[in-house]
This record gives sequence, structure tokens and C-alpha cells, in this order.
Amino acid sequence: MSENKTTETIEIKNTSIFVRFGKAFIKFFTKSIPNFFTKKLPNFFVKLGMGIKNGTINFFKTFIEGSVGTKLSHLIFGAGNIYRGQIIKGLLFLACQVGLILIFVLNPTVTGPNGIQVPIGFKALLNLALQGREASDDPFDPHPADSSQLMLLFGLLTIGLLFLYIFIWRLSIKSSAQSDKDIKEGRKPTTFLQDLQALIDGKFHVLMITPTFIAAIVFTLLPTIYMICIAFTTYNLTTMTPDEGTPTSLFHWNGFENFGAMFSGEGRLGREINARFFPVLGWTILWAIFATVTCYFGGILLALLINKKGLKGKKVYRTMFVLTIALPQFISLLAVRFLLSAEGPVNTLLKNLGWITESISFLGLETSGNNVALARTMIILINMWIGIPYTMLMTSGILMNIPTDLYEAAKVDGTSQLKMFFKITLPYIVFVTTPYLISSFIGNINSFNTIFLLSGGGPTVKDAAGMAYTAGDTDLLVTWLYKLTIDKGDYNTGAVIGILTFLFTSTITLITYRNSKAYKEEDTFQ
Amino acid sequence: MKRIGKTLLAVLSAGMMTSTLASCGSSKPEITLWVGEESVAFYQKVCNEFEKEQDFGYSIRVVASDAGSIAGPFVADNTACGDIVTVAHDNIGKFAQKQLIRGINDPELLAQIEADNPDTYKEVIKSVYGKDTSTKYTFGVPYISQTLFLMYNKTYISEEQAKTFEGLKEAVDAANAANPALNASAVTSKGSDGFNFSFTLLARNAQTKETSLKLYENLVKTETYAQGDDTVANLKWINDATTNQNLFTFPNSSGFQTMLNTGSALSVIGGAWMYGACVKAMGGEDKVGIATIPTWTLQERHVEGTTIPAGTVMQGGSFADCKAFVINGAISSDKYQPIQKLLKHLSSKEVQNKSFLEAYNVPAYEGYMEYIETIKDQVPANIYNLAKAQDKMAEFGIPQPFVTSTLNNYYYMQGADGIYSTVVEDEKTTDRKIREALWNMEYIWKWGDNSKATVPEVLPGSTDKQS
Amino acid sequence: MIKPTNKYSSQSRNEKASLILSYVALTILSLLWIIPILWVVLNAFRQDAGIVSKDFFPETFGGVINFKLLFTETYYGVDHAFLRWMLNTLIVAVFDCVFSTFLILSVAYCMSKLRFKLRKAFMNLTMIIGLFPGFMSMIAIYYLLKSIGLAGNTARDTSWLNLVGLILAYSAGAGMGYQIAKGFFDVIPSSLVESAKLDGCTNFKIFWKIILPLSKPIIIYTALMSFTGPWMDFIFAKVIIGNAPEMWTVSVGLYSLMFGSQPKQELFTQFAAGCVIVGIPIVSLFMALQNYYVEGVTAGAVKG
Repeated sequence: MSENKTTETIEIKNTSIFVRFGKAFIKFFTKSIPNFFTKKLPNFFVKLGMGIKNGTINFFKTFIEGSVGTKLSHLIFGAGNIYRGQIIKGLLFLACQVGLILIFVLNPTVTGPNGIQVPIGFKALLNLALQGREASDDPFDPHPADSSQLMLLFGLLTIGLLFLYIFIWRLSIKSSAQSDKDIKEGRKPTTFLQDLQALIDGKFHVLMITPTFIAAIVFTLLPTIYMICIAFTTYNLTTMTPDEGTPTSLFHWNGFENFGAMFSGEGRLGREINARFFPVLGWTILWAIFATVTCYFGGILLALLINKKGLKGKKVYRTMFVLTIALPQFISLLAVRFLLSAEGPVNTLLKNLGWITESISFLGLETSGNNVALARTMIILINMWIGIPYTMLMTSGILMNIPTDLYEAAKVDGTSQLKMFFKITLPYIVFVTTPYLISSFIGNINSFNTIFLLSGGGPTVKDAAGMAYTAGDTDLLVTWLYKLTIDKGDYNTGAVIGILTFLFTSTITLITYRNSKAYKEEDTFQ
Repeated sequence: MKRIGKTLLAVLSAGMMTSTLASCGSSKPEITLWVGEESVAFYQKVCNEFEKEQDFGYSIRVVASDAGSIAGPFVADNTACGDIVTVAHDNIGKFAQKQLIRGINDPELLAQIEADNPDTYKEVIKSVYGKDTSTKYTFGVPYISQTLFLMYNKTYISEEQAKTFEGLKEAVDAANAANPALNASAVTSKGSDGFNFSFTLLARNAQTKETSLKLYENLVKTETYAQGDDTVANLKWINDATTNQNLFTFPNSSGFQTMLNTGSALSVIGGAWMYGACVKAMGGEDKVGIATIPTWTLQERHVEGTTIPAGTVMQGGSFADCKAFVINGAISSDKYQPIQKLLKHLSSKEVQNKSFLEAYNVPAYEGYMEYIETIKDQVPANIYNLAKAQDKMAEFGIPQPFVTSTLNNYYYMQGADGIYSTVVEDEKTTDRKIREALWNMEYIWKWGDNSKATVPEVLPGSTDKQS
Repeated sequence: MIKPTNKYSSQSRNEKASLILSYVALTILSLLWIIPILWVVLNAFRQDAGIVSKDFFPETFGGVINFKLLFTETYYGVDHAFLRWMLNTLIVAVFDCVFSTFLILSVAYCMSKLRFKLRKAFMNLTMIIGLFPGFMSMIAIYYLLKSIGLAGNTARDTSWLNLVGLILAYSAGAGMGYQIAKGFFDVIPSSLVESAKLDGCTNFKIFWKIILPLSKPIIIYTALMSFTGPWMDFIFAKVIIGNAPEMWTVSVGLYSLMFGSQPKQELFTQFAAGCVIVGIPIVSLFMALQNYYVEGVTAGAVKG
């Protein structure tokens, strides 16, 4: 294995990561995207069509060829299993069916915000139209307006339950067909105990993945779809002008209006997105590049420094650097924020030394006298303080693993230390840690803590009249999103930004992951 | 490993159970009351007594919250908020129009509110409900009054100097002469939002008590006017005071407390809720002086291009606000009447007086100074002064108005504050720029934003050409 | 090559010089690294309890006065609030640690060593979802938890349920972060699994008896990460727990001391003391398990 790696290392060392990324980038737009539309997409539909066709054929085949039990299973879950004597399994299927149908029919309600009762079940599907009841006009016996948030959420949940119903339905039929097959081939249908045993062996993955799978669907997929839906609604807790009326918990679908506002710049928020989206996106990219590169190469240099032969006290040094990883960021970053504030120790020191007379606005938090370039530089520097130790730790591990024969060969050739570093050490590290580089780039795009805790997005950006925008000069897409949603309640605008952020990060990820070794060799690695 | 894990789990589940058990002692249903953090202990005590004396069927729990920042969470999800919530009165309109709070219908409580409170408060605790804009109902129960005033550092500023900005100028010059490194400003504020810059815009002629500024007069949103010559002159003055005279500065990133502590600001314009913070910052109760917002005399350079005569004395203004209890609309109906009974007790004059004595909350009822004069000796001198300064400021104040649910919001943060701070800190400002800024602010107050606005070429009284 | 001895000595002199240079550089850097942290620690021991100081070194040291205040003061109307917050965080951290570690390891193992239908689909799905910014889903998660009574409770006898909701929310998302552990399992030779299978071991037995004992580093790494998570996060905790100060986690509490609703800069020294109290256990845990951490990080970095 090590030999294999060596040859690869020699091969790749001539093309730097940037060139490779650049090539991948061009390839993505010139080849991958056209390829996607000309080949993959049609292919996908062909496959889908075939799948549907085969599925339908299979479905009828199972129905026609199946036993009475299997036929009955199409209507009553588990009937086939009970027919074949798999009583417990059959009853479980039946219980699922009865339970789900009860939910669909009885529409149990959940108490939402403002004490409103919102149903789950078929009524929830109707609620997806988001046509709720207005609030009562009696201030002494108020019933508030219906909660569209929950109507949407439970509507989506019900769709999920419908899928679950279909899934269990198929499972029940399959299970029954399997029993038929077993009988036909002269075996006994599996007992419940055997089924359970399969869970810890042949179907071990089902046991292991199911909790996460369910959690992922309920706590991640569902909320994500919910968020995407919000982008197409009027959900907004702050009204822009008095003429737009009073916002309530009731909101409606408004198609692509929010996206339209972004391009036309209409309304207060449209104006804001129109003016600020590209500057924020630009800074987000700039930030991600600088934050990644500085921490990455800074970390490598520090690792080399610390792991120098003959250096004593490695552990002590390392411990000091690692402190910034181990400390919660809200402590370390807030400490820096206080240190650098207008009356903080750093400014006081500089004043006492007589170097400055007015406080320097390091992080762009003052009402005036801010310097965008300085604030951005400071944030990148402070991020190095947090990020370098991480790369240092990682590289230290990798440095130990560099095959020594590479150095031996170089030494024989009389290569200087510096040259060895650039010809062997660096290319090796870069090669091995490319996946990390990519994921840390993506991580930096979404780096919330650093910006939120240090500058809060400041300096504030104002229009010609002096009116401030929500997004400041150091705001990233994510912090902007946070301000819009959690601070201001502009949920629909936030969702639009969220979707755009996703498109942006996914493009980058697609480009890089598709070309990364980890992706290509995922299966050959074993 | 395993054993440690098991032991840990056992210990923790035990811990969790005990904390759960400890937290549910009584079986009576609970009413939660949200008040400012500094008053939690006091109101919990009052509520406990009330519970016992009245044989009240509910246990009352007092939770710390902040009247200033409650609006966001309350609008987002009022079921996650207390049954009774303390809000600044200007939120009442928003909550009522969104149908998030319940009206008050207990005749005794209504009568008490009617009898005790000054007319200004009686007006602002009423609001229309939902879409029905024809009838106004009472929603708030005032119990604390609030205006801005000046808290100054006695080390640098004498009582006489604190009365006028000219006096403050003397003080700050002396302080800076003694220690040039201080680079001090005489006054700062808590922040730079609309509330904190109100003192210049709401300023009145000290003799006539008049101002041309109109903010939603008769509660009509378009009856708003910010372009009067006196307002222009005041803005020129604050610009001058900020950029040339070390008289005023917005708080920097260290915050007003640090500035007061290091001496880079000698005083702060703020409210009673900041008193404790000021004491800590200035280093003791004896260091803190309390006064009304000082007056300033307009000079020739401030009145240039206006019809205001030089030498006019202006008195800094303030919003005269009240904090009020409101009933959460999400309560279960069985609590509705008991809550009103409780509110009647909590907002009674006796409890308000006690609250002043024990938690230093300035009462809201009309003529509270009479009572305070009688107990002058029982409270620290500063607390007495604080009540007195507030009472005096109320003469120069107006309650923050609300017409529709969001108009108040505009005043605070829909961009007018940015326009104000830009113009105040502009070292090269012009008559035109100031008038443009005021025009924009007025537009925002009327219409919510200025994105569709174009400043007219000719503004009243403007002396410079459009830039 | 011609004068090996000379070259050797000059090289050693060079090396010595560069070694000294390294010492100097490292010392300066490490000072830079600890100065902000040192400043917080110094302030925790400051005598004049109060606001942010303008000097680096406090004028007077007061021993443990700030710590005493921290543990006895009533914040946000909660008696012994800091103690409560510590306890809350500990509870959340332990449960999160147990659940998350279990979920992450089981998913990682399946993805690494088992082959089944929908495996690739699941991996792609988790990757795509991970690209959406988390804040948006936070709101929906809040309403979901609230609708089953596990978030936004404020009443005395139900507010502890918020913590359950928080544990659920933390652990539910955990399984999606299986990549690093998968990277680790990938390195374990598949032949081990194959031969065990030939011996008739069930998949469960292979996982439990063969793989897990080999995976101490990644188990500890995963547990460390999920245990420290709740001590570091505050936005998620703030949203889910809401205004129930007695149920706040320590980060929400400490943050609210400084940036809460009211100006509270006078509590800076107590905030600093709180930071030290939180920092000590987390940092020492981290230092003690540093090697495992490095192993985890490296596994994650190389395999992505």
C-alpha cells in the first residue's frame, strides 16, 4: 500500500491543488453540467420509466401469482402472514395499518403556538393550501388566527406518513410473497424469532440504521423541506410598511414572489437583497478562501516547527496551542472581542505607548470610524488563532507517516532541506489532506460562530440616505440568514437566502467531491 | 470504562429525578408572571402573600424577562411566554392587533386603572383589536413609569454644571485639561437606536415648552412633522456638540458602562433600569448624581438659516413611557378572571409604593411624587432624586405613540436611527444634509421606509444648494 | 561530499541556529495564543468585581471572590443559577454523549462494512442535507419539539422537558455525522469481518466483539465530541429552551450574563470566573484524550 501511495505522490506533486481545482471548476461547467442535461437527466428518466414499468408488472405479477393471503395482503396488511401462520408479524403489520388509518381518519390535533389546535391526518393535507381561519374579533374571548406554520409542518408530516403507509404496504406484500415462495420451495415460512434473529445478522443494517434514518427524516429532512416551502410563502413576522397590513401567524403561498423581489429590488427586503446579496456572497467566498488557506498552511508550518528534530518541550507548546480548540468558542472569541474593544486593553496599551490617540475600531463595531479592510483582516487573523492548531494537530499525525524512503532517495541526490520540503513534505501533506481542505472550505462558508461572536457582521452598511441594511460588511450568508430569521422574523426572505446558500455550497461541493480521491475510490479502498 | 459509564448514568438519572421532583412541589395550577429581572424577588414575595391572604387557587411563579426585548419572542410564539407579561406600553398596539393578548374586562380593575393613572397613560394602554379598527379596548395595566434622565459622575461634574450643557462643557474641558489622555466626552447614551436619540428630537423650548415636532399627532400616522426650524437647529447643535465640543458621543464597542468607568464619558442619558449599572461603573452610589436632561443654548452657528433666534434655550426631551402588565392571549380561560384579580392587587397604589421602596421602581400612578415626598428619608437620596428627575422629565415628555402595530417599530429601527447617527457624526455636515436627513426620517415615520422616496430639490428654509 | 566533516559541523551549527530560531518563534507564538485566555483567567481572580478592565493586569487580585459570587448570586431570578446551569449542561452532555456515540458508531459501521440496498442513496442524502444551513431547520425543529411538549415550556413543572427536547435534537442530528468514524472503520481490514463470518459469527457479534474492541480511539473521539458539544453550543440551546432561565445550559447562561437583555458589564469578572469553571473540565478532558482526538481528526481528514 505504501508503495502504491509513493508513486501517486510523485505523480501529483507537479500539479498544485489550485490548478486541479481550477481545472475541475472549468470541467464542471463545460462538461459536467452539459453532460448532466444531455445524458444523466434523460438517462434518469429512462431508468425511472423502466423502474415504473417493471414495478407495475411486478406488482400485478405478485398479485396474480400470489396465494389468497398475498392477494388479501393488498387490502389488509399482514393478512398473508397470518394466513401462513406468522401471526405476530402479521398482527404487527395490521397494527401499523390500523394505526396509520386511525391517524388519517381521526385527525388527532396538536396544540400549536397561540393555543391553536392543528390536526395531523387527511385534514392536514387540506391545510397545505394554507387557508386558515382568521382570529376572532372579541378581545375578551380571543381565539387567535390559525397557525400556518404548523399547518404546513403537519401537512408535510402527513405526506411523510402516507409514504410510510405505502412503504409498509409494500413490505407486507413482499413479506407475504416471500412466505409463498418459501412454501413453494419446500421451506417453512420464517418464525417471528427467526425474523428477529435476522435483525442481528443478515439484516443487521436495518437495526443499526433505522433510528438514525427516522431521526434524519423527522429532524433534518422534514425541517429542510419545510424551509424550502417557506421561501414560497408570505411568512414574515415584520411587515415592511403600514400598508401591507398586520402580520399574523397566518400566511399564504405567494409563488416566486420572494425570488422576484430579490431581482426587482421591490419592497424594503427586496431592496436589501438586491443591494447586499452579491457583496455578501463575494465576502463569503473571499472569507472562505482566506480562512481555509491561512489556517491550512499556518497549521502545516506550525506542525513542522513543533515537530522539529531535537526540539524539547513539544508537549508544552502543543498544549498551549491546543487550548483554543478545547475552549468553547463563545469564551475565547468573546475574550478577544473584549480585548479589542474601544476601551479594551489593546487600545489602552497602544494609547499608553503613545502610538495612537483615538481608539482603533479593530472589529468594526463603532458607530463611525470603522475600517472594513481592517475588520475583515482582524477576523481572518483571529480565525487563524482558532483554526491553526486544528490543522497542526492533524498534520503532526501525517508527518509521522511520510514514507522515509522518499527522503532517503532525495538525500542521496543531495537535495537541500528546503527543496525537500517543497518537493516531498508539502505535496504529500496536501495530497493526503485534500478531503479535509474541501470540507474545511465548506465549513468556513458556514462559519457562524466566528463572525457572530466577533463582529456580529459589523461595520454596518448604510445606503445613501444613511439607512442601515441588515447585512453588514463582515456578514456571511449564514449570519445574514440568522439575523433575518431569528432576529427579525423575516422567515421567507431568510429561506430564499438559505436556498441560495445551498445552491452555492452544493455547486462547490459537487465540483470538488466528484473529483476527490475519496469519492472516486470510495469502494476500492477496502 | 463500562462501570464508570453506568455509575455516571445512575448518578445523573438520580440527579435529574431529584431536580424534577424539587421543581414540582405544589399541585395547584400555576400562573406565571414575567417582570424585569431586578424586581423578581419583590414580586414573588408580594405574590406569595397574595396567594396566602386571598386563598388564591393558583400558585404564582415570577420569572425574569425584559420588557424591551420581549416583543420578538412574544410575536413569534406567545405560548412559550408567561401568562402575564410586562411590556413597554408601545408594544401593546402590536400585540393587540396581532390578537396575541386579552382585553381587560374586570370592572373593578378597569375602574382602578381609570382612577389612578394620568391621562397620557390611559390613552396608550388602549388599542384596537385585530382588524376591527372602530373600538378601542384596554389591554395594559401600567405599574412602572419611565423617562430618560441624566446620570453623571460627581467626581467630574457638579450639581450646578449638570443643569446645562454649557456647564457640562466646563466640566469636560476641565477633566480633559487635567488628563489629556482621557479624551473624555461629557455625555453618552446607552445605544444609538431611536429611543436613545429621542432627547434632541423631542427637545422643547425651555420657556414656552413648545416644539414644532409632531409624531403621529391625534394618532394619525401622517400627522408627523420633523422639518421645523427648531428641530433643524437642535440637530445642528447635537452635530456641533458631537464633532467639535466633546459634549456628546455614542457609546463605543466597550459599552457605556466601561466608558463611564474609564472616564471617557462623564455622564449618560438613560433610564432608571440603568441606575445599578451606573453605580457599578462609576464606583459607588455616592459618585452618581442624578438630574433632568440638561438644557442647551443655541448659538449663532446653530440657528443659521432658520427663524430661531440665537440664544434660545432648549430643554432635552424624553419619551414618558410606562411599563404595563398584559394578559397573554394563550392562557386557558379559567385563569382569565383570577389573573385580573391578581393584576388589580399588583397595580394598586400600595404595591406600587412598596415596589418603589423595595425594588426602586418608580410608580406609574398620577401624583406619585406626593407619596415619595413623605418617605423621602426612607430611601437613598439618589433613589429619591431619580423619582424626582423622572417626574420633572414627564413634563417635557410624550408617551411613545403607536398607531398601527408597526409604527413604533419604525421609530426605533427601521433605518431612522442610522440616518440620525450618520448626520450627528458627520464632521462636514451642511444645512442641506441635515434637512435631507430630517425629511427622510419624517418619511420613514410616515411610510415605514424611504426606499421609494426621493428628496425634493427644494426643502423649506434650506440655504445651500443640493449637493 | 568532499569534506564531509566540515559539512557536518556547519550543518550542525546551522541546525543549532535554526533550532534556537524555532524556540523563539514558538515561544512568541504560544504567548500570542494564550494571552487572551490568560486575560480571562486573570480577570476571574480580580478583586474589584466589575466591568471589563482597560488594563491587561488587574490592579488587585482578590482570590476567589468572583467564584463565590458566581455560585451564590441569583441571576435571572434563579437561585444558584450557575450551579443549575452547570448541572443542566452536564445532564444534556452525558445523555447526548451516550446516544450520539451509539448512533454515530452504528451508522458508520453499516456504511463502512456492510453492503445493502439504498446505502449509496443514504450517503448522498446525508451529504446533500448537510449542505443546507442549519438555522432554517432550527425553527421547524423547535415547532416539532414543541408540538410534542419538549420545547418552549416555561411552567415550573414542565420546563425540564425542554432539556429532554434538547437532548433529542442534539442526538437526532448526530447519526448524520458518521463520516469521520466511517473513515476509521474503513481502515480496519475487511478480511477480519470476512473470516469471522466464515466462523459463523452474526453481524451483531462481529460489530460488538471484534470491531468495537478495536475502535477505542474512535469511540473516545466520538464520545468526546458529543460530550463537549452541549458546552460549546448556545444558539440551538437558546432557541429550544427559551425563557426558562432555570433550564438554561451554561453557555446560554454565561452569554446572557454579558449580552442579556439588560446591560450587565458589571458582571464581567463573574463571567470570567464562569468561563474558567467551564473551561477547566472541558480543557482537561480534552488534554487527557488528546491523542484520541488527533487520531480521530486525522482519520477524518484523510478519508473526508
